[in-house]
Amino acid sequence: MPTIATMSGAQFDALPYDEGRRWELLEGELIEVPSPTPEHQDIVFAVLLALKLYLKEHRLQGAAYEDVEFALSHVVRLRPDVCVLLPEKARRLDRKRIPIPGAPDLAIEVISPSERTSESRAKVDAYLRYGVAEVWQIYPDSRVLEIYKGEKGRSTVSVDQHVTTDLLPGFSVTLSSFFE
Amino acid sequence: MSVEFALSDDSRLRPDVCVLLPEKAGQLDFDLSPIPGAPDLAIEVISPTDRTVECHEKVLAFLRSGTAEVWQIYPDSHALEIYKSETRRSLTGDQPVTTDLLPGFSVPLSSFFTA
Repeated sequence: MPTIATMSGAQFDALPYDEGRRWELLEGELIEVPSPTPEHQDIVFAVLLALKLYLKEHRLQGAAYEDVEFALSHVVRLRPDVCVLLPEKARRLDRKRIPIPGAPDLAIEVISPSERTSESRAKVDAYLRYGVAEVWQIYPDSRVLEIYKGEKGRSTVSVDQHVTTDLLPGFSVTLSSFFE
Repeated sequence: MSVEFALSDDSRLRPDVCVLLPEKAGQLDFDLSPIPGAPDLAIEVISPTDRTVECHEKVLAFLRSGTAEVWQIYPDSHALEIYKSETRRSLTGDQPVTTDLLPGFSVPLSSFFTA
């Protein structure tokens, strides 16, 4: 991937807020965050809504957010489009502080047209390496969900299938609902 | 130079490496390009400029057209992602690369990355 600049997490955290929000930091390398399209934001909202409804209906003290930053290591700052913290992590969360130290339990990325393959892959690797249990990649055009689970493997969900995960017992929505 | 496949009316793809099993290879017209149909195994080495969406759509196009397996090789992370129509698999490190398509084929993944 093209290196724009390298820096530590602490240097990254010291960037002016607007500056920092245009970038993520992956193993010390700045990577650009593309400006989201309306389609991208519609999908993010649909996913977030489904997850928040699930947490509420199941009375789980977990949390789901859009676009918050995690300090996965001293040289990694990533902002998944949507993330879920299960009750154990959500309980320890300081809601007034970013970046959130550590990793979310579930990280979801809606793939943007300008993203590079090697970068998308490197993000998945980083999430899994630093403790995310599952990473979901949503492809808006092909309407496919790719699920990455580290050692437990990979799976794929097509648009007419249901999205389920061991992380969220009882969660089940059709993938197509994310695109409505 | 990679060979070109006419997967459908509106798809022409050139995988970095492809395998035609005996049945398809037997019907192959060596003077004809693009080759009509899909290879049995298509292998793509990911380039730094490749776009995520495009690579993924190529994988889906191959699988839709009858390619049994698509392999994506990631030079930076030394990983191999294996896509079949219903399943996905990931190999890293020294894991042996094997496939039902090629019985007896087994090489350590790391051998793909040593010059």
